[in-house]
Amino acid sequence: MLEIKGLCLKAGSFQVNQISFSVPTGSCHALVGATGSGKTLVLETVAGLRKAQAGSINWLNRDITVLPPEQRELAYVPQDLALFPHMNVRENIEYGLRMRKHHAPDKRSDVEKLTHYLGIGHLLDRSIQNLSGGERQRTALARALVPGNKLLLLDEPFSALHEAMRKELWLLLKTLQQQYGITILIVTHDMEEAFLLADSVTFIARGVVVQSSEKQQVYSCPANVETAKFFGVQNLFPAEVVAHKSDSLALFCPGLGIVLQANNSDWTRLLPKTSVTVGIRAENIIVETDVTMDNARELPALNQAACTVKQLYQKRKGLILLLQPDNGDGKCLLEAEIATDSLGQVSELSVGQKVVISLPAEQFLLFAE
Amino acid sequence: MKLKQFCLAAAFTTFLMYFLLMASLAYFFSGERFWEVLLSERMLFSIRLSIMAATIAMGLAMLLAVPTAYALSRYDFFGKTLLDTLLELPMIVSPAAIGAMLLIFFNTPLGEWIQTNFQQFVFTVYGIVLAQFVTVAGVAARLVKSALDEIPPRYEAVARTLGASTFAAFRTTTLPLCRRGIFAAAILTWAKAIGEFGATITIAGTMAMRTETMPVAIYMRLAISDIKGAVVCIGILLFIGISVLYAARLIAKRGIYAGN
Repeated sequence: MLEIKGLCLKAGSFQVNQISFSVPTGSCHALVGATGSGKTLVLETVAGLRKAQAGSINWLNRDITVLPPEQRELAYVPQDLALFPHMNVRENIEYGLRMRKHHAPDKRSDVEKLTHYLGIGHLLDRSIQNLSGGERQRTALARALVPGNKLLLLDEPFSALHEAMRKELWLLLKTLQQQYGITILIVTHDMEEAFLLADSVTFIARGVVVQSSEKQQVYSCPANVETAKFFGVQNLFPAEVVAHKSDSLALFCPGLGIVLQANNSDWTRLLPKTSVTVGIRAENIIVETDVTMDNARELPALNQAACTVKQLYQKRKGLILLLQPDNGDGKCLLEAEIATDSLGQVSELSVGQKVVISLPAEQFLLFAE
Repeated sequence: MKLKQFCLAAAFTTFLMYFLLMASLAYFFSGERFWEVLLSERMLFSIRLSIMAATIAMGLAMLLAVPTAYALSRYDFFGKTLLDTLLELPMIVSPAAIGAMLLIFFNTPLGEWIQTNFQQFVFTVYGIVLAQFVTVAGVAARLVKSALDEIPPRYEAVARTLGASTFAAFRTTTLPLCRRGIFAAAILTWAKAIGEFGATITIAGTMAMRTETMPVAIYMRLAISDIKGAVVCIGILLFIGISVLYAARLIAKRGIYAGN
């Protein structure tokens, strides 16, 4: 297990404080956060390229906090890959073996096996300058893994690739992880990458851990508004508790101009007049085009609001609508997403069109201020 | 006048200035005198001494320049800005002043002790090497630093995670990547050393067949109004200087990754 406890470090005026998380052996953990949040600093400290001011880093029950990088026995792939431009592919890949003085024939056959597996076996004598983006990524992975290290540190390694290549490499990395029993710590700001590759996630903001848990937990229950925003909760609007019962809350949202009913028993401790932020993902908003508020009232669903379509644009997975609630304070703009395969169920939409939205109570996220 | 024409005119004026200076040598050039001076024992001694002293000074300067430049390029430390500024001391202080400072140093108790117990520098060939070394060491460090700055430190960082020690990481990544830059720096340092005059004459004097480097030979021939002899010395020095500078330019043009 990789265990990081109370890690503190400084880079110029930027401070990373009390970073703690653990990565079980053989699993993949994603360090996520906005640019400048400190995630790369943490990764570089684990790699031994920066000195920790406090805290500890343990890998397989061995304290590696103060060890130099060459004694940590881990593999590191930086964002720019840093393939040595004066060496060809084979020399790059075998660099770790040369430095560790592994000249045994079985190590050489490991190189052949791994490069064949990564699909770069035919490129070994090629110059680094003549590789495509994907081939460079594969070479960097092979170079990191050939010495036999079982902890792989990746710093946004696929960010420069186009989507198809990125997905191909995600799957390849996943298979590699299983085949070689590698533990992976990956830094990324790509949610899709984090969710596809990682088993658990740590969200860092301004040098501190905001949330660290299983990826599903972070997705479904973000710790605060900042985490929710980062994990794709597009609609976050202020509300005030107006009433609470044992199993539900009534919230007034000035932006929507309606009272919402939320029925999560965890929230019933919130007292009336408490200010909160309500969040709901775009894909969880139900848009109905063939109803008016008059007949909508007769529908069983709660939490409905009349809106006007202000903008709409097509995305790969569906249609995105920007909606302004008709009875709100005018400051709230909701984003709703209609999946491509559901588009047939709504009549043609256009800017200025009146629609009714339903906000399912079970999809609400609530953040007390 | 457009900017392009103005800049080209400035460039050609610069070229013309140097060309005229070099062309004026032809006015006093004598073919017969050229061979006589060139093949004289005194001139051959000057050429040998100049090449030997400049090569040793360059070698010593580069030995110090590479680690100095590495420290300035890669590390943050107390006094870094001051050290960085001091590297330019030989460029802003007259070489004669540097020579005078060396003379003054050898008149201090420490300097006298060094001369008595270690090596005599004043009015010797060692003094020439020392004067050239002191004049070019800062320049060499500055040139090497420029070459090192072009190589991202990331290569060494990755090399270390792959099992290389700090020195092995430098030797196998940064050094081969900036070898052309270091080589070009060495050539330029050598060229500057071979042309050094002010500090050399101050500490080593003007003793024919003893401390007479090429620039000193020019000075000594001019002092006795041997213009034709001085022209030959200048021609030889120009030939050596332009050749090495042109070689350095060609090397730099090939780029840091070329030919690997």
